[in-house]
Amino acid sequence: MSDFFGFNTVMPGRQGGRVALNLEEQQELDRQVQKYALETGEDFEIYDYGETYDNLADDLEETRDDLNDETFGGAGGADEGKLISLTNCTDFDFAKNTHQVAPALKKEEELYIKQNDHTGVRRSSFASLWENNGNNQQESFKGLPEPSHAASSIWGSFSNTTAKGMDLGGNAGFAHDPVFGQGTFALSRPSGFGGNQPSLEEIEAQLSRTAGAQPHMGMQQERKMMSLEEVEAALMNINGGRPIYSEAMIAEQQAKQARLEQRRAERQAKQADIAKHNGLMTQSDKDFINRIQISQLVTDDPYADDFYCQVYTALRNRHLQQMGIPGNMMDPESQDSRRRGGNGRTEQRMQQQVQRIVSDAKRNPKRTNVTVEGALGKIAVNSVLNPRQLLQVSKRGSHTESPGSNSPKPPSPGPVSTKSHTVLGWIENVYTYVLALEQKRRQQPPPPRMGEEEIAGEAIRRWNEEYGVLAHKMWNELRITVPIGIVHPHPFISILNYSKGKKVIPRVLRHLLPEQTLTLLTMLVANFESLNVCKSEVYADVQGNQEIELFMNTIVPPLLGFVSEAPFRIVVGLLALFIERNNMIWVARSKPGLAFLTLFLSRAEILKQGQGNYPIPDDREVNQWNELYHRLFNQLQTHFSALFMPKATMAEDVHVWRFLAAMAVGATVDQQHVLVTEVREQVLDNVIAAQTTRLSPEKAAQRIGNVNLFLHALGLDASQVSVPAM
Amino acid sequence: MKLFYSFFKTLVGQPVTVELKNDLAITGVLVSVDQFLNIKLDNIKVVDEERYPHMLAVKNCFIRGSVVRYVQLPAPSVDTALLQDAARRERQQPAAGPRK
Repeated sequence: MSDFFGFNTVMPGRQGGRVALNLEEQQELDRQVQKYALETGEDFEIYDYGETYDNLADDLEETRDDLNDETFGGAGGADEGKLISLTNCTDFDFAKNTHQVAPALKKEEELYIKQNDHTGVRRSSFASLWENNGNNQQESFKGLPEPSHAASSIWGSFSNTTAKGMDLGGNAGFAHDPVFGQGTFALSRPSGFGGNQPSLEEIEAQLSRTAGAQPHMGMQQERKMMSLEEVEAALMNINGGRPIYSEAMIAEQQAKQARLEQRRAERQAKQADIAKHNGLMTQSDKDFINRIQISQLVTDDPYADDFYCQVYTALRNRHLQQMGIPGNMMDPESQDSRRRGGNGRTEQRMQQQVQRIVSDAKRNPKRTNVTVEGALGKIAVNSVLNPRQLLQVSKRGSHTESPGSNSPKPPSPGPVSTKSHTVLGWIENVYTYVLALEQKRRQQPPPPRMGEEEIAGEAIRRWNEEYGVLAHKMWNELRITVPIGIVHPHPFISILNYSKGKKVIPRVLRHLLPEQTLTLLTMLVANFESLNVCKSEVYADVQGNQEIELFMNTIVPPLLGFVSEAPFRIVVGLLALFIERNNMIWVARSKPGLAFLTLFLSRAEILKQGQGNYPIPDDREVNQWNELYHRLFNQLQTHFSALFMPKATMAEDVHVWRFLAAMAVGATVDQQHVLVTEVREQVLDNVIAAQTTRLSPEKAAQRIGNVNLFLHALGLDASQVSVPAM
Repeated sequence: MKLFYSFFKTLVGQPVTVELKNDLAITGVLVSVDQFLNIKLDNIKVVDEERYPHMLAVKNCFIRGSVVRYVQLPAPSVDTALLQDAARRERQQPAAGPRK
């Protein structure tokens, strides 16, 4: 009977090669098998599980399902390990497994049926199970000897003579089962089938011979066949490469696609609806609207109306460039226009509009309110740039003079009040001129090009003139030239006593001529005592210390730069003035005072030794200097150790050591001796502190370095200092 | 008024916290600002999320300028000296009356 089912002969070895039994043939076969089952009364449903795995949703609950359990016992078991172990046992307890999961199976089945309503195919719960964990099930099924056994019994009853062959056939049939198929059904079709048409017919013949005489089963048969056909269709679907278990996903995707489609349609409808308004506005209308919007944003002078943004961007770009990063912060205007305008043409039109707006605005100055004839009130024309004024501050002449319009009043040479608001007013005026000067700097005409020297020269000349005028006004506002002694403190010192005033000085100095800078320095040195920063840090509160810090950071550096280029004569003059007009003991105890003293001393020493491009000072000048030095030394003698901060404060004292070094360089042997004697204790303290382990290595090194500043000036070194035994 | 616009323009791309007059405080990256100081924020996060859970899902927002009470700025992005100068310049310009 090896050819009874055609695949008998080939199957055991070629399970994997089963393919492409065409639909009709398959259906036919199924039908015949079905018929036979009905005829013989055998429970062919079992076989159907295998053959048509997905139309047996409720077969589980049918009678005589004991074989089901036996056959598919593993189906209910999510517990794979157990099942696999069972394959090695002789005692199969599949029924129990099935029973355990029966409710779940049923539920799942119902769900699944509901889901697939539209296909009309009822699937067995096994199928749905298989969907969920196909591989597990497969494995468990494969391992079971039972299915073939059951099938053998079926086939056996159907034809005793072919028991053995049927056994194989049954096996093949199970292989046909999707449950067994390794993922794709294409593989689980017997290839032998395709080429075995005659044998198929034989089957038919055989089946009809046995099952043909059962006409009363017709109706039921029909129904069954329908469902079978559908199942086959589903199988074919699988053959087409689309796994059946993804149908839910497919449906979902389809729904999604439908939604998208619908949305697109809606959008199109909306667009079409809007389209009827196309061309309602002419280009000039659009321009007009644009102009209204842009006129709020543009300005003819970005530095006037958009100062912060412009300067901030410029500063940031410069900073980034200094750090080696190309300025990636775009010019805000270009950024704006890029955002606004799509293409070049639009941008160009925008620019033209902007120009027109600007010129319009220049021609007709905006009115803040309009009075309509016959109306009782006024119509306010407020805008973002012209908000309604809520505060009416009466302006008093001298303070609110605008810088450009009329010349400010010259600084009052007579009695000058130093009330705080007056001084603050001066400072603000200084700022005003500084800003104007900085603005002028930005507008500096470019260097003349070839052939245009005359025009450019004219522009440069005019620019220089205006710049000079502004610089002069600023100079006046600083009140440096007010004679000393009329008021105390000197107006310029009053300005410097405000942090605002200190902050403006570096910016002022950029616009001053060298003579003016010298005057400023002279005035500062002459009135040094009256500076609020001229006091020891010990006596200054937090705010005072901040002021000192600010002075050291804003005023000292630019003046240091100036002094370090000054000739000997000027340095001598400045030091003479410094010593003459100030109490050196007091001044030297302040950080800024000490800084200036160090500055003068070291500069003079450098010049005396003939460094730099300056000629070596003649004897007269050197004598003058030596005399000054002795005066300074005598004043400070016995106070050198007092220059140091009290130890408790732990303050930085490097500036003191620096000053001592500057003193030591110019000192005679006797003076050096005095110096060493006076600060001996400090030297020892530092050396001892550095040698003990109390300090971190960096700190210790720093201390030794400080001491060495002084000792090296004397030709000594900290290592030579012998620490007395404690 | 222009000063604020000019100022906020430089903060585009910086994280800011906008406190609204209804006590909602929103932190986010400043996307843009206009002359009314309307503010667009991205990657927003409400400061008190427990109180305003409905804001959890919101990722960006547009804030009408008039409902802003405070804007907390990142200190390193503000040049206070320059801001003072800008204020001085604005003061120097002919005041709100007849301008231009």
